[in-house]
Amino acid sequence: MSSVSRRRFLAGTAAAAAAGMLSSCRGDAPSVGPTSAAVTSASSSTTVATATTTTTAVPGTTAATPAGSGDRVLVVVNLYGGNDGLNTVVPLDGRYHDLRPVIGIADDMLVPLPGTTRYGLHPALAPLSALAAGGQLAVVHALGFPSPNRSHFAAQDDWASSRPGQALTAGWLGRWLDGLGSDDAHPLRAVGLSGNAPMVVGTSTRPTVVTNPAAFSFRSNGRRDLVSRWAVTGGTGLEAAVRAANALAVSSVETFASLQAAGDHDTNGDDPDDGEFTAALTTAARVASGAPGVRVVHVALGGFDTHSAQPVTHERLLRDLATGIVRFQQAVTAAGAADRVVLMTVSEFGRRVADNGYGTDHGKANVQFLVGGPVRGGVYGEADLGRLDDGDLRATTDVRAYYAGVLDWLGADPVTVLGRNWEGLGLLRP
Amino acid sequence: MDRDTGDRALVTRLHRRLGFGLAAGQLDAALARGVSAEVDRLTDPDRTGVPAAPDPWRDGELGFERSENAARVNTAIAGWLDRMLTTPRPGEERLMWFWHGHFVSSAGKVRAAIAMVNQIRVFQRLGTGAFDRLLRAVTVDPAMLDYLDGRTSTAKATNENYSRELLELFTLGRGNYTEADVANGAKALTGWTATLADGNAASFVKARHDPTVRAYLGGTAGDVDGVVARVVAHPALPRFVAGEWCRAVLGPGVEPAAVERVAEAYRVSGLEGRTLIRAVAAELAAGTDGGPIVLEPVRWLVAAQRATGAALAPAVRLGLLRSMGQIPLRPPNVSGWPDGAAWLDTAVVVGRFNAAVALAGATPRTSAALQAADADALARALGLPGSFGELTHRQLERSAGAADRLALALASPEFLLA
Repeated sequence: MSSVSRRRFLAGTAAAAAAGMLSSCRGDAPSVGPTSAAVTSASSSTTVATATTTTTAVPGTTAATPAGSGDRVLVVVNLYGGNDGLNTVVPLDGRYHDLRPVIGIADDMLVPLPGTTRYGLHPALAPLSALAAGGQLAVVHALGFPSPNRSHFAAQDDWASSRPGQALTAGWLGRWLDGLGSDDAHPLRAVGLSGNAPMVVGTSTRPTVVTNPAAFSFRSNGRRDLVSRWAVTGGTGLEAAVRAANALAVSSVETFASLQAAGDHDTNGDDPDDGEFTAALTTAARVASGAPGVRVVHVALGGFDTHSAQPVTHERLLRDLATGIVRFQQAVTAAGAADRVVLMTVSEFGRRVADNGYGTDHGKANVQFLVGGPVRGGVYGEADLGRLDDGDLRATTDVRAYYAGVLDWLGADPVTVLGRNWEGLGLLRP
Repeated sequence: MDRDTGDRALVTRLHRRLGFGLAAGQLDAALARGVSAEVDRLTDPDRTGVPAAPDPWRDGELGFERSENAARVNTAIAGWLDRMLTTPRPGEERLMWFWHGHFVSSAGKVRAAIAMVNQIRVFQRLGTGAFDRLLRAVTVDPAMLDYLDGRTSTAKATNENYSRELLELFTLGRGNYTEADVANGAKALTGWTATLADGNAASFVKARHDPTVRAYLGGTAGDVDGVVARVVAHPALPRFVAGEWCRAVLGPGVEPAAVERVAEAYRVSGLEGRTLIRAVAAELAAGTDGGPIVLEPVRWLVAAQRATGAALAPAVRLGLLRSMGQIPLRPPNVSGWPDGAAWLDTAVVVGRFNAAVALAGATPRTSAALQAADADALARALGLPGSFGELTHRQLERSAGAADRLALALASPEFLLA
């Protein structure tokens, strides 16, 4: 979009909002012209490009949009701090108890993981076993990069960029979205619901960040023209970046508000008893299901850096995670979007195999979850306690293979995004 | 550029980057004193006779009571924000704010307001002195011992959390230490523990300490003094710390040569904080420019309040900061708050616009910011280096009411970018 038409678009949304016209852009008929055009061109072009790969997609449940990879949505759940994968999906291996005399979880406490006798789930993850039994949960163990880093920030950058050891310039999902073009993009094409999401930041792509949905509106004391007058793009350098951010905020506030309004009529509305993370995942489900043009939603759950007091903290976090994921999958299914929305977890590293008393220090390879209708359930990868790397779990599967399959499912070219061909893990039906 | 215009640009930039912005009516006095006097007042208030602000915290209100702690943390935050707003020594406050974002602890984990406050007091007491004294105090500070788990680390169950962040984030940066340094440093620091309750204090428990002297950073260390000595002797330290300061004050794109000059002055001084800050200020006054700085929400809000005189109730102020994503004493993780582009996220943008509207509404009618006859007068009242740019100027001219105009000015790129 040229700066002129972008301004016109912004003026249009602001004026529409001022007149109370923008009621909903859910479904196939957004009420504002430029938004409608943006959505149509984005979904139709990607649908054409990937039409040959959609042989087994289930049609019918999302009648509002054409079936195909162009309307598929990825929800990333980032477990900041480095989740302890070995106490999340526990290997049934005597060496585990030898190395974790204090914080190890007794075998008879573990929740069985359908389809395997080699691992059990942390008791707090019991809600996930129904998803696993239904074939909607893939567990990928011992994921990592070949040159792991025990620094939170180096490892987070590696996971964000998919280019281990290099300075983070653009996230892997940001690079993919860059390639889709920035003109006419839906204001919620990339959404961060827990603050900044480096994985989704590209050269031209910046996610719309909505940290608190209830506060995501302009309060100008009735002087509505203030907002439209303020959100004028232009200038150079950082000033231009500030003005572009202001303009993105104006367009995304309107679109987000209409999504939220539509969601209020759902049977799966917000539950006031939900914790912050479950609430964020409920919002993620609504955003992912509700608007054609949304492609990536990023949600974070922090606090996994369990150097001390791990048993209590980790149990609480995993309970939040499992509750959130189950609620998410229910909401996506109720919205008829279960065949086109997938949730994946990431986390910068696993933790040291041996405990340090009541906690664990930074380690290397880790377990991740992939959840959704298109998922081929099961256990992938292997946590091998007989072949440790300086006291840490050694990676048996490359993170980029995990990413490649997801990119392929989204209709992206994994080679373009990741720089070379990675054999996918077969986690998703095409 | 005539002298007055040039001086105004420099003086306002000094105050916006090394302080919290000029309070209403202070620009003329600052210009009358001149650029070099302002550098001295900001960086060496003791020598220049600027009175100190009183300590804003009453320990009795911050005592340890787990069920009351969230309210007590809010009281502590309000006290600090009030001092940022009113202090005659904004440079000193800026320094504490910098160290708070550098040697990070967070009330999100440290469930004792008094411990967080005492850590800020450490930054005030030692932040301008020699780095080894500051580093030792931080290493055995109760809030830090809790935040990065030193207090549970023993010879038998050694915790690496502090040892790693000490090297990665606080002193040397990645690439200047090994995993063995992290592990051996953790062993050397065992034995220090802390209570967070009333009169919180650290103590050294010999029975918990691993006394073995191990290889560390090219030498050896077996206790906290050995660790501090090896760290401050490391050649990477002056450049690392100077780099953080230079990027924060001179701009994210500061030239490496400028960092080297500041680092060298810092090294020669024996790593004295005052020298470091004066070297950074001298670069700023000499025109070293690493590009604009996005004022983070706390400094943006305090600068707006200083310039307008807007009064906000503590709960309202805290709500505005929360909506902009930054609350003092509650940094998001051990690396502190992000800088630059992170404050341009849509959530922050919306929060900042709403805060600008709220500030304009809370500004006294007699404030110069509301009395300004035109856009240039408004820019001056807000302590900006010069006039607004063309786009903002046009928006302001189209605004009928003074409060609308002020809201747009506070929400402008010119006020956000220092």
